[in-house]
Amino acid sequence: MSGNKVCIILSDCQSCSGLSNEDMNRMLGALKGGAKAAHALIVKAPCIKESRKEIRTLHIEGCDRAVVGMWCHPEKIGALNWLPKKMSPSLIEVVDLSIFAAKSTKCSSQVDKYVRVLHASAAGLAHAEALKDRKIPFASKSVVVIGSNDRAKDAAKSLASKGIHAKLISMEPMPGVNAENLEVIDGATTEGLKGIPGDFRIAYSRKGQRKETDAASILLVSERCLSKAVPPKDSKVKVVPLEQFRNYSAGGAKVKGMAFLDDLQTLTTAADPVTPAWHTLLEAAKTAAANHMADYISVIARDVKAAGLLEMLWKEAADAGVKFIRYDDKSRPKISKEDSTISVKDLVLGESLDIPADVIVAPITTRPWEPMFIERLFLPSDWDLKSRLRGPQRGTAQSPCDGIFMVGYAGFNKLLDIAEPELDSAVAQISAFMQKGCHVARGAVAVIEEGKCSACLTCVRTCPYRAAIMNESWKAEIIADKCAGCGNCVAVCPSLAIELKNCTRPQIGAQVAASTEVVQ
Amino acid sequence: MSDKLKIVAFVCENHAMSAIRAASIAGESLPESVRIIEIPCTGRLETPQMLEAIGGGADGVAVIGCLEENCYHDIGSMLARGRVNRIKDILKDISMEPERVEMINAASVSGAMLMMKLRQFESRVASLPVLSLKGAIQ
Repeated sequence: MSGNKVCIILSDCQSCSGLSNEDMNRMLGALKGGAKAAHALIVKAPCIKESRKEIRTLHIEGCDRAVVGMWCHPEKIGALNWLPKKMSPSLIEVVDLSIFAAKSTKCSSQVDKYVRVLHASAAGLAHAEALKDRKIPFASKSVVVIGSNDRAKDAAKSLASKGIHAKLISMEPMPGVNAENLEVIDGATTEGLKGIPGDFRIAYSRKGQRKETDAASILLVSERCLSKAVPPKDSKVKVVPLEQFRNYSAGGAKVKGMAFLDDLQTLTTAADPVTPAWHTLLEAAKTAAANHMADYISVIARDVKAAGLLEMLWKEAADAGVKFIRYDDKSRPKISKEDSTISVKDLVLGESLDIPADVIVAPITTRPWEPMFIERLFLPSDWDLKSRLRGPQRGTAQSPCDGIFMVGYAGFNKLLDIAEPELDSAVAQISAFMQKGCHVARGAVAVIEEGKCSACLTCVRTCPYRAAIMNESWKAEIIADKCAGCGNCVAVCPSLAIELKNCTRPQIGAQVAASTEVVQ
Repeated sequence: MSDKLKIVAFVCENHAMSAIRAASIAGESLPESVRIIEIPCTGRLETPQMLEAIGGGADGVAVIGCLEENCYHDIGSMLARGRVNRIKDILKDISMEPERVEMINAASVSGAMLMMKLRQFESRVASLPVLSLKGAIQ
């Protein structure tokens, strides 16, 4: 057995393990007998919890790595600050032996299994190398809030009131917004983003001039500011963004016709309409009908999703007097230039209709994943992100990139009522993020061996974190600050040029060999 | 029966490992024959490593990853599924049973279901003829 010497630490907690003294001694003998482990050490204590100090100050000559076998869940003990001080954290492996314990069989008959598990872990660890996390202090001290709605304004203000320097980049003019620590950049369009958490650089154009600003963290409040969606030119209809419908309906204006459109962009582009937040759209249509805001209220949509609670909403809206028109991809709705009507071919009736629409209410922000901006956010753009971003692994308002937070439509389409509490959460998370003061670049990263790369771009395409790029000399390079150490690039590389630091090929090989060999 | 049986399970350290922990808290134990190898993501697993396990004497190889729609690293379990299918093809080509390799997806809360699937896999592998590959492939 090659590799470094590994020490095995084990507590002889009888109540947790269920092993008698005899079994423990047998286990100790088996562990010492194995050629792999240099030292097997049983910490004589009723529980690892009570021998923390002993383990903490443990030092064995010529042995810099340890497998710690426990009989309870590591979480039960609390923070892992009791592990050997002299050893690098990446060279200590905590094994929870209780998950291997078969409840039905006798404890003493399981000694062999425990020994096998510990030996397999030790075999893998023998080939591990010490990794060190790097701390990169934040270069910037400000937070950029991107959004041109009231919520973005509120977020920037509440950040500023916490003593964080906030910059509000908004597409629309924001008069009368001034507070301490708050810088307003209004009438600006964001154009690009690069950098790492703590040192983002956002490019924006304002009045035809291109400028750049720095940010430690970014909060996207709806993607309105980033979206290229604009109401069609030279038409007489008024376009009300769905997210501002509340303000509009509070005004109490009455019109002849009002149309709710699933996606405003389908009027101008041939792109597929994005599924809007049906809840919000239907609620708005219902409110309009209930308040008699127009004589003719219609909902024009291509894809109709009416499952579960939504079905009830559709029915309620229909009962309130809202007309539903479904259109086809071949006959998109068009705004007439002479008068304020929308001509659309109804899919059910099969004939063209002129629908009076002085006001169009549409979610302008329904294109949450503009590929252009995604590129710069280094978020993965292919795959179905709507579900991916909201996995249990990411918290509320979090994005795959540390330090970038998304609220409202920026994340995915949702009810405004849900988006509002999200904002508070995002503000709290940003202030916690800013207090950290440094970005931790993990030591567990993939590295590319020089000279082996054949520039096939496979890793660049595969990396879910966009950490693999091509450098100037046209060779692949992995940005260590972005790498999450998942190893997806390692397995796809056809030239075997990439190695994952925290899980190398010899490490897996040794574990496989140890797991498959026959224990005498 | 299961004394001789050896199943190597490559487990992703995120959702799949949480599922196993959740199962052990709930009182379910791993099948006797399953030996766990923890890896950062199932997408890190290469085909040679799976073949190595079979060549080394394992009767079956289980790859346990996150659910495909909800993989911690977005694409890992999707890539792993492809590789497992490739291994199945290879095993078929060398006239071995493709049932020896299986991809199992688990959400971090569905520990009981994962254990059930593992037990089913174990019994499927146990019904196959005994492999005597130990030492044959070096």
